This record gives sequence, C-alpha cells and structure tokens, in this order.
Amino acid sequence: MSLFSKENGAVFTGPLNLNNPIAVQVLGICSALAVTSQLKPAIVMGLSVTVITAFSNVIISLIRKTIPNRIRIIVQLVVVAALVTIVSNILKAYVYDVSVQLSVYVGLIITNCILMGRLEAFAMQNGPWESFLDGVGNGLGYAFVLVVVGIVREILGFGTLLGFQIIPDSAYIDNGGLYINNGMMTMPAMALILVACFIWVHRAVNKEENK
Amino acid sequence: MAKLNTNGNVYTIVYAAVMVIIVAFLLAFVASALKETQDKNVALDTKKQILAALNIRDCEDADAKYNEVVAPGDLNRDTLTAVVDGQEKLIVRVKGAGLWGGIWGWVSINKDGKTVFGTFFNHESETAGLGARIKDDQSFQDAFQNKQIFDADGNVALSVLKKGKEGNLSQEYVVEAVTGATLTSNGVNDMIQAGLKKYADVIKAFAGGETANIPEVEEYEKVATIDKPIEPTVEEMED
Repeated sequence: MSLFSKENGAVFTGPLNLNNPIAVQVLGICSALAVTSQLKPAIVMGLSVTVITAFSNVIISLIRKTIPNRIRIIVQLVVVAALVTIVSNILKAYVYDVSVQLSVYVGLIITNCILMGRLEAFAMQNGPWESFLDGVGNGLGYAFVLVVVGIVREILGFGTLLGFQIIPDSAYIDNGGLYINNGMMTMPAMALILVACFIWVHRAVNKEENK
Repeated sequence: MAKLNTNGNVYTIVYAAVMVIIVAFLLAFVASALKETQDKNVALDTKKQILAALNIRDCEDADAKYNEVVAPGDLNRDTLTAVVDGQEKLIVRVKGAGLWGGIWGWVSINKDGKTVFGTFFNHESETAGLGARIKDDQSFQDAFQNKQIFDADGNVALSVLKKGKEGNLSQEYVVEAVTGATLTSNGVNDMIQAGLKKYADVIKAFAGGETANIPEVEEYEKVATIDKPIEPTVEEMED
C-alpha cells in the first residue's frame, strides 16, 4: 500500500469533516469549553492535542504487537501521560503565559476521550503510518472546532483577535459609540452553545452523507 | 525465534517495569533540560506581578522596567523597596490560604507608611469567576489604593469585608469583598493583616526615612493561617 493511497487519504480527512471528533462523535467537549475564551490558547491546545494524538498513535502502533493484552490500557495511559508531561514542560519553557492560561487543561489531555478512543480503536490494529495520519487528522479536527469557537468568543467577548483590536475603539459605548463587549462570551457556558451551533450547521450541511 | 507469550505473568510484569523505567528516564531528562528556561519564565512572571503591585501593568519590557524601578536583590524576599515616579515605595509580600489552595500577593505602601499605593494578588486554584477574581479583577486590587493601613493605636486595620459587615470601621480602612467568594476574600483579609502586622516595624522604619536601614527580610517563618476550618459555603460550591 502506498503512503498516500486513497485509503490513507480517507483515514486523514475523515476526522476533519464527516467523522469529526467533536462535531460527530461529541468527544473532548470539556476541554473545548475551558480553553476557547480566546484564540491563542485554543490554537496552542489544538496543536498540543494534535502532536500528542499523532505521536501516541505512532508509539502504540509500533509496540502494539508486544503489548500484553491485560495491561494494554495502562500501557496506553503511560505513553499518553509521558507525552503530555513533555508537552506541558515545553509549553512552560517557551510559551509561559499560555501555559498559565491553559493551567490544568494540558494535564487533562491525558483523560481526553479522543486520545484513548483513537489508541484503542485505531492504533492497536493499524500500522504506524496510518496511525500517524489518523492521529493528525483527529487532532486537527479537534483543533479546527476549537479555533472556530475561539474566534467567535474572542471577537464577541473581547473585541480582539489574537490580542489585536478588531472592533474599532470609537464604536464602544465608552467612546460615544453603541457597542459593548458581550461578557457572556467569556463564560464557559457560551462555548457549549457555540459548539452546539457548530454541530447544528455541520449536520445540516452534511445531511445527505449522514443518512 | 519462538513467539513470545505476551499474556504470561512474567512477561507482563517485566514489560510494565521496563516501560516505566524508560519513561521515567525520559521525563527526568526533559524536565532537567528545560528547567533553566522555565525558571527564567517564572522569575519574569514574578517581576510582572511585583510591578502590578506598583500599578505598572502591561509594560513592554518587564525585565528592564523591574530593574529600573525596584531595588536589586533576591526576587523572593518579603520586603522590597522601589522608586516610582521619583517617590519611594515599600513592597511587602504577603502569603495566606484561600478556599482551595494558597494565595499570595504584594502590597506596596506609600512613603508616609500609612496608605496603600497598590496591590496585586494571585492564587493557586481558586474558583474561576469567583475567588479567582482576586487576581483577574483589577478593580478589586485597585480598590486598595489610598486605603489606610493602621488605626489610631497603630494596629493593622485594613480589612476586606462584605458590604454591611464594616461595623464601626471607617470606610478608609475597608475594601469590599469579592461577591460570591466570601472565603477567598476572608483569606485575603487574614493574609493582608498577618503580613502587614508582621512587618509593621519595617513599615515604620521606612516611613521614618531610613530607607537604607530597612531590613530586607528573606523569608517568611510562618504562613498566615485561617482561624476557622475551611468549609465551602453554598455560594462557593460551584466547583
């Protein structure tokens, strides 16, 4: 089987759209709520999860034939936990302010259902390359939803995007305009509502395929 | 090669042991390789927090600004002196207990030794949106500005109290507690009172003009504790 065969393409693009971990499988919602109040932590979280799903998938796939069946979940957890600790250390060293913002949620990637789901359902049966594609695909599918929610929440909640002012100062009520930031958007509950809207749009667009 | 029985007890135990040893070495290596960069970040963050207590927020180069404003020395000492806009300030570090974990902060004091110049508070794990507002809500920290610290008898009177609980205490000593975060606010109250009481002599010496003689205390002997056992009230049980 060639590296970029049609099957491998489907493994990669499936989770981006028709099999999106958040929109279709409704996994990994808790972290989606917590880290999406601004775009930057959402991007960092999405990338961290992508890196961790991809590499844990590859590692588990490489050693899948040696793993004793009775402790396979433990082995998967150890691999994921080790990767998460490494990523969290790297974030602390190079993007400290983001790591403070993400706080416990980086550590909680360990319990992200997407990871365990992919390891158990895919990496335990497939080769390293397919598993890598599957991991990257699922991570990016997750990151995509986070980024969309993060963009909406940051613009409406803070009037900024990645820290840059988007809504002009003169439009604000303080400066004689009519606009005021929507404080609701900074609350975690709004992420849930936005994810629900995202799922709604996604289902409506893909009505045919889902049937 | 004979096929290994991957379900045997011995194989399972050896597999788990070897895996854990490899992972342990790997993590220890990563942690020690990155420690220096991480420590630098933590130091920079501490500097930003101290600057925030001097009402200098969001400055471009916190490192340079800190070196310009605050007297050199160990970052983690309990009393620091600084010069802001030509005026001397004393910064007292305070530590205490919040609802879920430790809280700490810095209180900067004007040269008169009586009024607060600025504050900054931080926390380990207070409830987001409630107790966490001692850090996130700048208006809470700004409310301390120009409040009186000592009453007529020289005791620490500066308090964080719920609206209506002031009793006879004049408004110039009182900062309103964070709504919905009574226990965290009580923690801030106890922390400030204990910290300022402990360094009352240092504050007096500072006001007396002997800036050079201010003992730069290195370490806290005892963390301020809350008298009552911590029990979350209904309004703080969201967690």
